[in-house]
Amino acid sequence: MVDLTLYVLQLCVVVGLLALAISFYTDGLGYVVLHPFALAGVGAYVFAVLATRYQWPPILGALAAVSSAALSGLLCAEAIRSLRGDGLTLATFGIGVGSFELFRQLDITNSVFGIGSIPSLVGDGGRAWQVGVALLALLLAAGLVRTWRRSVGGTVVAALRMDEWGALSVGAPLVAHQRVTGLLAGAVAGLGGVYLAVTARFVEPRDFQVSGLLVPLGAVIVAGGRTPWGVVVVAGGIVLVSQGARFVGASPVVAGPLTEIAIAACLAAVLVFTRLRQLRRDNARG
Amino acid sequence: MGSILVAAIVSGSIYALVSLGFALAFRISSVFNLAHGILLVTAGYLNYWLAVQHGLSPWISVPTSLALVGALGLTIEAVLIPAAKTAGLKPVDLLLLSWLMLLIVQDVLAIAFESQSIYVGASQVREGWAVFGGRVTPLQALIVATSILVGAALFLIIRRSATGQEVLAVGDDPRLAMICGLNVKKIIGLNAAAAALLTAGAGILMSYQERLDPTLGFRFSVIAIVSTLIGFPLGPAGAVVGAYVLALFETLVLYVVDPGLRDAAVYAGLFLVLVWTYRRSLVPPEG
Amino acid sequence: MSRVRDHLLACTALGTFLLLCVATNGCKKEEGGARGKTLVTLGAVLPLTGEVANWGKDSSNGVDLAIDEANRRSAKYTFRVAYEDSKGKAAEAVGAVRKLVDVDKVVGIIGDNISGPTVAMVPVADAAKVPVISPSASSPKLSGMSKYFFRVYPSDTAEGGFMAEVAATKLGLKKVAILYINNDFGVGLRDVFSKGFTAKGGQIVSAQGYNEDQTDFRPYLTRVQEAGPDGIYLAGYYKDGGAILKQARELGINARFLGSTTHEDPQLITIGGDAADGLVYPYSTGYDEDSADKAVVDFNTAFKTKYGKGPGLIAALGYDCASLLVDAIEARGPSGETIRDFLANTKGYHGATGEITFDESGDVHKPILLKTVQAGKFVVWKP
Repeated sequence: MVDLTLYVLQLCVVVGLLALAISFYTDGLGYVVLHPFALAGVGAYVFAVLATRYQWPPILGALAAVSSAALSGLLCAEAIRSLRGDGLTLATFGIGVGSFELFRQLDITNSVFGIGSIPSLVGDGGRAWQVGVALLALLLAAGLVRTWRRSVGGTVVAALRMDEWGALSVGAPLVAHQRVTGLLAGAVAGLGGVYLAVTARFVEPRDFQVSGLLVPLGAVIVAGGRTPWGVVVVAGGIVLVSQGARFVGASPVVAGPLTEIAIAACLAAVLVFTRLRQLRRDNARG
Repeated sequence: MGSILVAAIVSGSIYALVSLGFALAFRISSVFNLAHGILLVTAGYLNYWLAVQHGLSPWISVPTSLALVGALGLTIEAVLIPAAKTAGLKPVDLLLLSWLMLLIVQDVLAIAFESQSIYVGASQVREGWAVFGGRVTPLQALIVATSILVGAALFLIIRRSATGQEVLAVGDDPRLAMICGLNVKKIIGLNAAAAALLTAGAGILMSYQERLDPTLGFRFSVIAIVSTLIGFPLGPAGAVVGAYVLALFETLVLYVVDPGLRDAAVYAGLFLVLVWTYRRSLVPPEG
Repeated sequence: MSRVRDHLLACTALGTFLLLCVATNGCKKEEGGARGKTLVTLGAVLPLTGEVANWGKDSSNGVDLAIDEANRRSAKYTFRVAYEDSKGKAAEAVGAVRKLVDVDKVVGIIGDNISGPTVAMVPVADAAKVPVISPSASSPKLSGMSKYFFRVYPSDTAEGGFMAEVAATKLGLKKVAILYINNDFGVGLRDVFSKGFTAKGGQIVSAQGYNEDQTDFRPYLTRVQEAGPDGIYLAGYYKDGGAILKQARELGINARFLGSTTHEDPQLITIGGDAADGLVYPYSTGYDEDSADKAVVDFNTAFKTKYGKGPGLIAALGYDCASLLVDAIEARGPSGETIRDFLANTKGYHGATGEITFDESGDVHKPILLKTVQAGKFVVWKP
């Protein structure tokens, strides 16, 4: 039970990081984006290739992977700079699915075969403390984000989210914030990808399908604009609940698609509910 | 060269039929409804269930499938989406909700049919007619002709008829249309029914032409969106033009770049057409 | 008040979900240890949902039959199987194996049907010293991957190499095009076939990969047609194979079609129609449902009695996997190491899919039969 619990906690860290990456956009500038899994894929594959093919030390490989993902995030942010609303969301959806197709084709990612024998970041001993450190690091990262949100920069971003034109008219640097958001989201998603690679010790293109965003996106929506800690905790909670079917020994055939149906239905209900509640509050204020 | 073009046109004709229904619905709702593809797949599977598993005649199974899926499409486009908009949900929320609905219906179909592919066509396979260096079967020729004729008819109806003008008016500004005395609910309903029937018809035709899987709904939703946006300046019927352009682009990537990147071409097309269509040129450049 | 209501709603949704999970637990057969017998749990990681769900289902039917028979026969043990759904994905398979090892304490694992998840899960099972036996994963990568890994289905090296030989010598083909599914199975077969065929003086004039959900193969076939091959090798499954054969006939392509063991499925005929006639493919499993061998006859009879239909290859492979694990436990006891030793020394085992002998890499070598489709039926190929 301990090994499985540690594995599930590791998945919580991965999903928490992805949720944080989405939250940078959604709870920051207010854009709903669907490409963080592609950025996670960049991180995972760069780490896997450097660590297995080129025998880089894992820590250096991880740094290079996170940097690559950050750069990819920046490039994506530049590409979607002029889009808004559902157009932006759909464009990032295209980036996400298109990246999956690329991962399947390229020789450097070993195409459909994936890359195995991925080493751990800090050796194989003492898995429990490694997972504990990872969880603490995730909560610390969420704390840093919260601190930044309360700073001047965070206030400017909040103003841009609430009224872009109004904020622009008083000189808010929109493009700079779009770039920084892209960079940070890319870095955090890339870190999630690296952690997924060292958890499963194997990466393949199907690990980065857009449908995998269901849970981290759900966490961001359920957390409803609350603190980054809230996003991370909700993300972990959803993973624990969705893996709960395994713990209670539910029939896998029923559990598999039913779990996905249940998560999708719950997410839809929460999305509608959260949005309606927000509208009621805005109307009450107005 | 001729055979490449013919293959692209045959692929494009299927895309066109699928896209027409979406384009019609999109003109009024302006919602990127990713769940639109489930109408296509559901119609195909329903027809298969009635015709093959229950042995009903196509004269019964096809109209029944069209009617039932038409009702489903009507419910989504004419009831759920307007209600959601009235409640204040934004287009991005509707996009996400449509994606979730697509996942749910796909899973339900996968459970109900045990993830089996279906094919309702004839077991006797004949060589197609020789056309410009390529080959086209009678059913494929019918699909090409249908897509062009329906597209042309839709173009004329939208541009020249009173109903078409009413659809455009409601799509542009439903409140103003209501103030001007148009029966907005009726127009939305008729439009939604037409869109759903077109898509359901496409799904049934496809099941006679090639195999359907529960997961195809997503791919065809994306194709429909890209085709609609490419042909947007021509109105809903422009989706036909957009579909053929997309099919040609896909074929070009297959031939010139890599056959394995054929699907990636669709998503690249999605990204490019969105960036092109939705540029906010009014945003002041940061100096 | 609204906050309280929010929390209530959230708890209701969560509670409903958990209730669903617990309720569906009741759908699973529970086989508790009978009085005086030791309860032994085996694991099965199979694609019970997803693109190859019917393989997972067929395998599980074979496994369940073997377990039922073992429970009736055994005086010492009661066997149960804990099923996990890999969904055909590597990450799911890894999680499934961890759960089986950690929570269910399985002594042996059956799975996966396809190579990707199997390659991912073998290292995890190896670290836990739990033997894994696969019904149908065929990637050459799996050969010798772990001393705890075995499979009752031959490696692609056998099938791909065999078809290259058939194409070059028996069929006298000089130029072959390959249409392969873009996954580890298709790419693996492509590579093995290309190597073998070119070594025999043949030429691969075109090799095109398509994705798993592809239904329109006309652009690929048109490109292949331009290369003018006299043979086309289909490295994929029956669904896409059927569609390719149909569309190729419509395009007037007259090349000789070569296939894979995976093409033998009634759906190939349903989708491909009479265009499937003439397809030549290897049957590399050794499975002959008309064999007079006692093991095969008994299996067929028992399967038809339990399920009311004929078994098919995949069910037979699942049956053999479970039977081998059961026999290992009966002979040597329910421990990973002893089961592993038993399997490694298995020679001439008479299973539902023929004779099984594992080599030092955990691979099995079966006689390959050349078959074809004739008038909608799968028959032995006679030149």
